[in-house]
Amino acid sequence: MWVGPEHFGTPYASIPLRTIGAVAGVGVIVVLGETSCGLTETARIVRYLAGQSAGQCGPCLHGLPSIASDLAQLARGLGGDQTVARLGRRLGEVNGRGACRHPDGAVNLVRSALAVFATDIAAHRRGEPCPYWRNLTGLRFPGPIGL
Amino acid sequence: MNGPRIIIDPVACDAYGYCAELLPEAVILDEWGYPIVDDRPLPAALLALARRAARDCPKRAIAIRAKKSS
Repeated sequence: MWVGPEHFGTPYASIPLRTIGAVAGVGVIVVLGETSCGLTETARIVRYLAGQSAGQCGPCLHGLPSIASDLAQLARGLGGDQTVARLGRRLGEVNGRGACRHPDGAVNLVRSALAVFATDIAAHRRGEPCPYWRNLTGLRFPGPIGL
Repeated sequence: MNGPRIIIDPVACDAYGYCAELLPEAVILDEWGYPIVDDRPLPAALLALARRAARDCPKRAIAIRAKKSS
């Protein structure tokens, strides 16, 4: 999950992370620079997580790609209030509805993005995406992950 | 509050949607056709209908039982 720059001094350990509402997660840490788009990166991570679904449960199988598409729409500046509302509904409908917690982890990541990148989302949903949304610099994946 | 509830097996469920047709009082479908169930214990009046929905599920994905305490 994402945490804002105000928490950069937080030690990477369970208890300090919990005090800022974060979790240690899978142990992958990425610091986004000024020329990265948090929405784009979140969309890509969720696209990756969708591909990693075991495909056993419908809400994960269908939900994660849909959530990734909502995020990609927002990142491109193509999604408005309707997209944001649909994304919110989908997050609720995917969370806790799989046999494992894979989809829940994806939902937590997206919820943290909605909080940490709230100002960016407001601009993107007005159709004013940041100039960096095409910069796929933040994260590397085992294979190509587009928007 | 540990009465019988509808428990869905998310792996077995294949979105046939009969449960929502047979028991709309307690089951709605998400946009992909998978059931979202009311997590509260079933009212006595719905128990027989819920058992019927469980029996009629083509994938045997529904159980009616008390929630395991966790």
